[in-house]
Amino acid sequence: MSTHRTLRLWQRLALVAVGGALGAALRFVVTVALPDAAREPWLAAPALLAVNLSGALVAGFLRGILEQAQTRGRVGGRGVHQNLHRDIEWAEAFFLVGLCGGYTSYSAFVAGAVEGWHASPVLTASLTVATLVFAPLAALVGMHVSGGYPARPAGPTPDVGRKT
Amino acid sequence: MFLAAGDIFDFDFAMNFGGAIVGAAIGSVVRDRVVHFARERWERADLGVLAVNLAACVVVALVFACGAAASSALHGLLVLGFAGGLSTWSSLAVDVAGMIRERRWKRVALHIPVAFACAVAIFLAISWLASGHSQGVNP
Repeated sequence: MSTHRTLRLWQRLALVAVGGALGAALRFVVTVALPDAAREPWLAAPALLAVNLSGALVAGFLRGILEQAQTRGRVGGRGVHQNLHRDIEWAEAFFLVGLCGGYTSYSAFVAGAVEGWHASPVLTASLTVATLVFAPLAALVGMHVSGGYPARPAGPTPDVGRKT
Repeated sequence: MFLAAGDIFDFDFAMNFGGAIVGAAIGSVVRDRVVHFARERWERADLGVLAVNLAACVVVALVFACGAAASSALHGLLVLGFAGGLSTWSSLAVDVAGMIRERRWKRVALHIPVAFACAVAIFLAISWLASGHSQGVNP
């Protein structure tokens, strides 16, 4: 008999959808509403850099926390494992996949790089290189700060989101 | 005043914002399922992230090429929302951070410079094709 209480598929999708919508709303405010309200549209590109870097930092931090929790669940007792597994799934779906995923955007980054090239090549090239270099480093810093290194960082968490 | 009510609460803003929220919810769910599929099929979630990121670039390029971005609702729904929710930098950054830790430099190269070059090429190719088509229709 399984000791895991996993989220049902619809529960996971609902968490991802709500988290994604909240993340996108945050991104909208930072990259569209604030530059428009300040009447400085050029701020949208640096704002997107800030969004992607902060999202990567938080995602790295959360990944480290969740990996630590999973490790604790594996070595903990059965009761600990049952509740912890569900909490990890919940947090992963809402915060990591939904909120951080919806908050950051690769398509906006690419569109900004292509569209911005004609208007301001130096600024666009700087922001593009900064994103490509510092986003992974921000995630790495987040993992360090959380104190947890992923066991399988290049792949998925093995049993999160899986029906058992 | 930094934020005036008239700057924020207008119709275009509401359509853009509402479209972004709805589109992002849908895009995030599609991303989750694609990444889940890649994880189950190839045990490579990073390939799922790569796929959704490139697919989102196709969506944005098509919307721009078709001129649909001129509509606030469509721009919000498809560009800011769906494509924004479908694509992600956070998962990509976490995956690449893990690859850096494991010194898998070929994978880092695939996901950072190569993926970016592909995304830009896709974007430009669709724009070019769309401009050629519109010239054919309206010479």
